[in-house]
Amino acid sequence: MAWVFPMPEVGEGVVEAEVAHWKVGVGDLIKADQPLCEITTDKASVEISSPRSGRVTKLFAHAGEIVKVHAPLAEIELEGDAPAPVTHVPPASVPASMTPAPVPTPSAAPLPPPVLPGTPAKAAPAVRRRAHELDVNLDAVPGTGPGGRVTHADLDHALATVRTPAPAPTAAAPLPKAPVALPQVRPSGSEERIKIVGVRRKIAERMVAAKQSAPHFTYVEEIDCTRLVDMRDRLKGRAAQRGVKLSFLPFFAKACSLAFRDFPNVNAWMDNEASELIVKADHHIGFACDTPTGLMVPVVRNVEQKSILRIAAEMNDLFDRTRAGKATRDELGGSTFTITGVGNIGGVLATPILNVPEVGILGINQIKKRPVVDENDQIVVRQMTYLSPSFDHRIIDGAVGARFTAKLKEILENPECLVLELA
Amino acid sequence: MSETHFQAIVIGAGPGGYPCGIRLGQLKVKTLVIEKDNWGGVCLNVGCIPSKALITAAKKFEDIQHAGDFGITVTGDVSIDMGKLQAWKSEVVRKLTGGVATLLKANNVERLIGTATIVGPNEVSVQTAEGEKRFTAEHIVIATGSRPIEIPGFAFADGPVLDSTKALALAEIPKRLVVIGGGYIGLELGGMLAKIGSKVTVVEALPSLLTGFDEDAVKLIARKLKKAGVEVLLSTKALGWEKTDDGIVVKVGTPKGEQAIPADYVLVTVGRFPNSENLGLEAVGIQKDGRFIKVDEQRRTNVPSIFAIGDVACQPMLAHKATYEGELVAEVIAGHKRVYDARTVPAVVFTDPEVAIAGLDEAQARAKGEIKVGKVPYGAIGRAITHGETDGFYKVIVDAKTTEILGVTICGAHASDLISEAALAIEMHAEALDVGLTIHPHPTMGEGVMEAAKAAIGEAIHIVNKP
Repeated sequence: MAWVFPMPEVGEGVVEAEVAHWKVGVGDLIKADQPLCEITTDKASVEISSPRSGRVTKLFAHAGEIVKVHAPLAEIELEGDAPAPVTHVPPASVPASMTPAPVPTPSAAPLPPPVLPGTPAKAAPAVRRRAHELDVNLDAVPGTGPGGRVTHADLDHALATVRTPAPAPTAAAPLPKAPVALPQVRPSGSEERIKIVGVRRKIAERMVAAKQSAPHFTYVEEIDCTRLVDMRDRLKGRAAQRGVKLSFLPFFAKACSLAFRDFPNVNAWMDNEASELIVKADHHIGFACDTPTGLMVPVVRNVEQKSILRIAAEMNDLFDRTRAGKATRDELGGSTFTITGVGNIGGVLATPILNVPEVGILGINQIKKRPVVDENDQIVVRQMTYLSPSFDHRIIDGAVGARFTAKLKEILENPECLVLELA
Repeated sequence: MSETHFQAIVIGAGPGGYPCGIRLGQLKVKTLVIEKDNWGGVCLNVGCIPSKALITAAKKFEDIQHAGDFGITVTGDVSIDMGKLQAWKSEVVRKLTGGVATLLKANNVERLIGTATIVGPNEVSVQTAEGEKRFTAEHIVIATGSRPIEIPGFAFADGPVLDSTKALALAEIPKRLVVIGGGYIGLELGGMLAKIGSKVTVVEALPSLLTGFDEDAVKLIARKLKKAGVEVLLSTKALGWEKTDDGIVVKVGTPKGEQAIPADYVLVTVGRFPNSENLGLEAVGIQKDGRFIKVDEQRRTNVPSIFAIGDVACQPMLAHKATYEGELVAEVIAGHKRVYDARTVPAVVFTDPEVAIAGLDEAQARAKGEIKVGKVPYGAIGRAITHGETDGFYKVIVDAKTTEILGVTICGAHASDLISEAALAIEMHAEALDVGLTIHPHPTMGEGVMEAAKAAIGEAIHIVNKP
């Protein structure tokens, strides 16, 4: 019996997900709980396993395509029913357009056949207008709407299926047969086109949204971290005894949380539609995390209620799991403020882009020994860094941003004050 | 206004030109709209709007005469004060045309009264009260509309010969009126005047009234005209007119021979010609298609900087088609990728009863393929009966195989207000059941559309379905 596995619900409020890649192909046998594919939501990559055993007879989407929750994902000929020959895949059951994509084919994937020739595509006026704008011939787009109507989703599908043609074989002159010692020179003009899908696409969308919707500015302040470095170094061993690697990040997170008491509007979301600022009581702090698939933001919740040790422990665990692609969707969203820094790589300072709808993000930079003129006009060696927070100027004016940063400076240059705030 | 250069100049501020100007303004295109006479064009000043105002008044007058049917006793004479009626009509027009000027201004569109001539692909000369002015523009939109056709022997300059404009401004109710042309304008105005007391004779050259409209609808309208005392002469040609002691006679050639019809006025409504002359089209080499300006699917002429919309561009000569085109062209000028892409231009005739049509009519649909027709009489619809309006029908025509709705014709009271649902259904490629399964509130006239859609697939409730 053929059984259709629908896209499962992968998180609250998630209505669709992108198939990142298939782990099986049509004709493969799959066991219950064996990974079927990896999908990407707006927050996270999730591995989807097959709930039942059988043979995969149909995949309803290419890698890179969006599938709505509850829409068909894969068809499985269940084990025990109608045993299918092991080596033979019934070709008729798999329309050409649904051949799974993982195997890169050099030729363009065939577009689905057009509907009846001479029959104008059924589509609503708004879909027709968009198709015209995108130069898509609607007659060639199969409709999945009621009565075969072409919907916006079908149009998206058609656009996604139009694959980049492989570069035409270059008619370059044959290279000399003699052994060539020099590296081969690539024929000029060759290029590779990389489809922006999955996490990368999500990142792209978020960045565009931030740049287009939130006019933000970056303010830079210099911080003397000498005492902070000293304090961290002394606490590092104690934390290690508790199995926790202690970095500077938890101190910065806690400092922000303290500063929010005086500047609650910095820990907030901007609701553009309603023109309302949603000031958050919870200090859910996101940390920009560099992962093999791209930037992710794991979130430590309620920093205001947690000790530095606990923040460190949670953060380390979250970072490990995020980099391994094992963090849950819930752990990768819901932040009210974000901290980012690439100081471990280098650089003087960075100008962070907001993690919308948040209105503030703190850029932290490399802590480095620098010559500083002290109060006695002596040049001394101090552990210095720059803080480069960005703020949504619609909400936070330059002066407010500067005062908030001054508050952070006060806390971080006098880190012992954190002791007073222990819960 | 000191500028002489614009991104767009629109010639004509009728239902094509003024929305074009407003949309251009919305899209931040620096625009000048030039109007020869009055803001709003024929539609608002001497067409759709004043005619509907008078038709409404005539209908109220008739309703009062039939008030007894509802148990209402009207004592004393019921009469019409034409002066007061015209004053009310003028006030309606004033309100709407004033709104046009306000909207153009609010959208930062420059306005100028004058007669424009195109003198180059990007240049316009305007005769204004203060003399000639010249303007340049990246784009020019011709939206000059149309005018009533004059026929030999019936010059509009002559007193008793009326065009639709003069018929809408009559200071008295003609005792006897001959209407030449049994198309929609003639029947709307002739029918209206018959209701308020004119003895009307309609002369139509073709063998049917309202040629091209649904046969069932035409039959119903002809029956109602007869009931209202309107005489209809079909296959009859208008030959000329003469003054007599007590008015005029209109000489016509009927299939049975010549006939002289005594009258006070003769109204000529044989159609409209596009206003494509004296515009300077020749100077810039704009091609025509008959009397229309030749345009492509973006409503661009063969001169790339010049567009034409509305009645001057192509059939159907309907205000709402002009408006769609005006907005389309504005977006094209603003750089959007757009093309005329409407499946249907609904048409409405304000006769008694009204006729409204969207998509194909029954005859057109039959010629194209296998169809099913769901027809429901007004008498089956509760709200129609409570309105006291049982003359009429709803007709939904669907593809026999797919049941996609191909056309809807509604004939009867309020048909004009009911057809938009059908137009939406057609644009959305709705099937009979899409409309049939949409819950229509009870008791309303709209239920008839739902019932007719269901009748097309044999599932109507309030009529006996055809096998």
